[in-house]
Amino acid sequence: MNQRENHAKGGPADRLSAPAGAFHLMGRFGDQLVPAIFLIALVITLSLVSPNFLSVGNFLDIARVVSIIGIMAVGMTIVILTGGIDLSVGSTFALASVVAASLIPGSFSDAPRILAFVLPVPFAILAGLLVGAAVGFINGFIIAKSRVEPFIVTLATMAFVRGLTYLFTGGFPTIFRPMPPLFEWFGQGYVLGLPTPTIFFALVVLIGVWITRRTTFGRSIYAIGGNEEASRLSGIKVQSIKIRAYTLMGALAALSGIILASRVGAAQPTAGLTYELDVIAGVVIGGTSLLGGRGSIMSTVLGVFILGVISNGLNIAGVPTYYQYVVKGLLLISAVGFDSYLRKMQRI
Amino acid sequence: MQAQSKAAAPMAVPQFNGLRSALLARGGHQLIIIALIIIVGLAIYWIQPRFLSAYSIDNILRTASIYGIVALGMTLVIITGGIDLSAGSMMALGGALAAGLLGTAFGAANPLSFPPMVAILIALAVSASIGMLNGLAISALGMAPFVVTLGMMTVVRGLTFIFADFTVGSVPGSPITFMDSLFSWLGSGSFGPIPTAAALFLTLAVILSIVLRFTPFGRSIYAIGGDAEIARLAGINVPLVIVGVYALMGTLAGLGGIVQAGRLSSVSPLMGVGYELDIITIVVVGGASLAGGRGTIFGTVLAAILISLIDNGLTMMNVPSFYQYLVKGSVLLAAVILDQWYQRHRAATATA
Amino acid sequence: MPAILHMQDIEKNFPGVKALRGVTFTIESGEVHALLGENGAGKSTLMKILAGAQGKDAGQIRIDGRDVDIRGPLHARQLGIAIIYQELSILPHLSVAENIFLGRLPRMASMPWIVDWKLCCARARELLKQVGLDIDPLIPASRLKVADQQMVEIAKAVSENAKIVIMDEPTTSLTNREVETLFKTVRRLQERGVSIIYVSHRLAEVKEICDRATVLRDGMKIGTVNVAETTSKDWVKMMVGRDLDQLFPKMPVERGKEALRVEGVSSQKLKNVSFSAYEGEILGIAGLIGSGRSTLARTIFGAEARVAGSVNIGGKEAAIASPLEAISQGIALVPEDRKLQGLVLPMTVRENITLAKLGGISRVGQLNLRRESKVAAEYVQALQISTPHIDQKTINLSGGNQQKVVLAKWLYSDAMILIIDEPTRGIDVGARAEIYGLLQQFVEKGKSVIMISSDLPELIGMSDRIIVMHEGRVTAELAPSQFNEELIMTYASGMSH
Repeated sequence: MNQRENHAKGGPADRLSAPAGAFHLMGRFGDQLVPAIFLIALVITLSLVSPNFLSVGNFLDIARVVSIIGIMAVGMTIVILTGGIDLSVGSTFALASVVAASLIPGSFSDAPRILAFVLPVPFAILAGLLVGAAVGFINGFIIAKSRVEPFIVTLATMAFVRGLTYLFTGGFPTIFRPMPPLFEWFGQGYVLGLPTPTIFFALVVLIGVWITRRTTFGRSIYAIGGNEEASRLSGIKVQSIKIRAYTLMGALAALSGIILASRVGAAQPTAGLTYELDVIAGVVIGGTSLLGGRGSIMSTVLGVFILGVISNGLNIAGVPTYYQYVVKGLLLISAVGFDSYLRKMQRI
Repeated sequence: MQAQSKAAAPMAVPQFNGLRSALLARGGHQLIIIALIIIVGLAIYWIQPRFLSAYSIDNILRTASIYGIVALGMTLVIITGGIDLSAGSMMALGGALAAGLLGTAFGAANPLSFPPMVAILIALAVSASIGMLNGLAISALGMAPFVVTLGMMTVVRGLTFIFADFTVGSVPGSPITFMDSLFSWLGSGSFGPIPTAAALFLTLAVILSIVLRFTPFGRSIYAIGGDAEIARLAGINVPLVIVGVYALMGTLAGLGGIVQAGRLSSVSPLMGVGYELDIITIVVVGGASLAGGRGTIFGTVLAAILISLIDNGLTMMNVPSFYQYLVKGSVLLAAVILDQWYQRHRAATATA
Repeated sequence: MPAILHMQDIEKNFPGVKALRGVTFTIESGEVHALLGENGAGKSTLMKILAGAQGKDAGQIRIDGRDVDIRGPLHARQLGIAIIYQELSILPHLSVAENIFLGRLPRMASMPWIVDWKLCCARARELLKQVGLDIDPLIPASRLKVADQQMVEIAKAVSENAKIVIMDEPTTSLTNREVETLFKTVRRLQERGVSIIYVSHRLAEVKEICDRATVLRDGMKIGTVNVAETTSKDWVKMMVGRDLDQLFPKMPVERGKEALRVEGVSSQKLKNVSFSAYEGEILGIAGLIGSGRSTLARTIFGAEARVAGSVNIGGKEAAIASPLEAISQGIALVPEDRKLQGLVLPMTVRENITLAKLGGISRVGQLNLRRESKVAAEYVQALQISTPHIDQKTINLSGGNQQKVVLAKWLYSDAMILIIDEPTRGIDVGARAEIYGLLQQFVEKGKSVIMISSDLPELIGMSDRIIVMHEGRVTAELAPSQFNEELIMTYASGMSH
């Protein structure tokens, strides 16, 4: 629709002149300006409303809480940039965490063991990550080869993988008696005063930014999301790139799941239910387009923090959970609605 | 998608005859589902003969109808190229409102009490308005339906909790449990041999079929799903149709929730969590395309029956619930891949 | 003749762009009036305002002497204005009949909320006959050839009992014979007193069918002339604002070795196609739409599967099964549809230029952005791509500059054989000459160009040799001495000479 309109627009001379004012700024910093302003306004408002909000401790807390969703959101951004979506992340999250947990020495569950051995902690974690990557690979493989919509494929694997998780655990949580220190550190430790989940999140973000901005893989992701056929005709290996994107997503979902298992001291087969929606919400609030080809990892970080700050603020203000649902949903709609409105004015 | 179909078009030869190709064009997909219903039914019957009892068929029809009523609305939404993730929450709100407004719930604390019919109408009106809001945000602001309804899903779930608390009040999150003859009739009553819910579902299905095929509104839905800009340039009032479709979706979701409430005589504020995905599954298995422009009511009706059959069958065979996830996931994927193959096959026979 | 339409001082602004600056435009009843101008001159915007697809910012519109305020597409139609858009507005899943009556399906007399399919079908059949199509109106539109879909569009416009019919580039996808049918329809409409606004880049058509022509440039009206009293040279001067010296900068280049040999290539749509292309040569491929020209290009490039035959490059057989392999063998394809296949529109000029050779600006998968910028700037300079900076999104460029970006991409990829499908479709006169110049430079470096085109003057003006295709086969190979439009069309339509 937009292409049509743009095609008709004015003379070449006019087109060369720079757009004016706010629009120019927006064009420059593109996707990040609106969510950034929104986040800053939110922080200022909450600091004025509640004195408890503005403290280092509280900010660290927010950073820790958003890490779980944030790590997945980095992967989801990459998937959405290709024009896809992954609804199976919540299930992958659970499967990877129960597999990793069951392999960790000292793990215990009421159900009969499926895997009758344990591994040193790093290898157990690695096994969990591989399980996640495998689920992602299967998603990517089906999507790339069958051309069925990603929404449907991952909706199916969401159910399927959740089923596998129940099958693996018999429906019982895996707990630790006791938890090995290294695994405890994985989700509960601190490095230089920062919680380990936050450290992992930061690392994942850095790698994600590097991938999307500085690698041929990242460039191909944007190209495929922007125009798949043109990319194919330019020699981009579309199928392979898609498979890699979903595999990465799966591994990151697994990483999140394992971190949470360590944090809460148990791997639940029901873990991560409906997380896919939180993750997607974070990505789109940041301003990444579900159509693909437009958005960035940094926008997603902002989006995830917006959600985290709102939750935190509402908690501090003592707003009951149910009202928080309402506020969060309205904020999601209005943040994205405002962005759509601006774009409509600007006619990108 | 568009580009492909246009690129393929030049070689298409406008010839179309013979019973086989007519079947392929019109009802190929539906035939596959009917065959699947028979195969799955026989398979379950073979393993568990109790399955064909009147009781269990009644049960399957009721489940199918509740999912089906909501899926009818979702079919329209998906044909426009949209999606509604708030359907599950909307069911809960519809059910909770209708039940709560009766004022007769166990432990009722609210000052409201309406006659059943009025309570139901209010609940439907509220559901319709929320659907309308979805439609407005989508058409007026040009927002992605996925995002709007994702947000609305949370909002409506919150409202449901708040209203349930307002009604019952004792423990936060406790269900509204009630008894009402009109509700029971809707949920567990019968119309002769046919369950009321099924009669309602089929009536609605017939009406919507007619609307889709024979009214300008119905045709506009297909046109918008094909290409909204072309529809607009043809003089179709796209925003109005979109708002109408989402309002209808909201109403049907609310109605589904009310029937469910009647069946259980209880509404948990957690009713229908995750149902939106089951309902989308039904619509997609029924042959609609998420890309828009394609889908039929009849396909959705058949798919609702198929999915409920599988659900109930597995339960009756005492298959643990986790296997049901596996089966559901596989059925969805198989249906869609089969459909892809079939579409391609059809394109090939058309060009040959 | 009385003025049926008078548009006075029409203005339209888009953010940052003045699309129309006080355009005044008058149409008399029963005339065919050409609207000319380069891309971006404001033709489409002016027509969209008239058709109610876009609002105007200032100005008046008078129809039949009455001031009107066109509120939307539906209102425009009620006022007797019908439009055929440049992009097809056919919905492939719907039936032909429904496409014709989209937005105003006939209703039952007794039940006005129910569509009368019988009446719809009967009226559609009649309208289709008027435009020379004898098809079942109930088949889905996707089963029609592109040209037939275009005729359906025309049937749609004719059906409206319109007083003014706007045709925006109606012949881009039509063959000569179909253009004749279109012209017959235009003349019949004209006899009925209908006015036609004919927007086209094809000046020969304007000469043939139009009475008067109005030229726009940069959103302003330059003038209105009588077609019979002026030449196409005059119009070009008005459109471009200067004399255009020479459109085809063709200089003979010495023919080198055989660069590409295609032998017995067959697929679903191709039948035993063989030909050779040489270094330093522009090989033209002519043929009607659907003759397999584009399929041939895509097949050589590995974008479509071939069943039999071989492709030899530099004398050696090349196993090409994907575009990637074709690119590594030095083949490039500038596809027919820039927006759908050529460019990643939301990406920048820089990113599009390097897309086909990311290896050239990266090391072990890591991009060297500084190097990329240098490369992009070089090509923007060399091809004179007019863009404010290399980080401009290609969606914001004009058609001609977009095409140059696609060319830059392939020049950077070190292509030795450039296959270019409809090199100048929808590109205005000024930019056309530049594209031809680039092709000429390319062959001067001893490389090889295969140019597919529906534009016969272009093929004749630029090619060293032309092969003609019909229904998947090569029906003729013509040397420059044999170049003439009639002969090419004879072979292209499958008639033996």
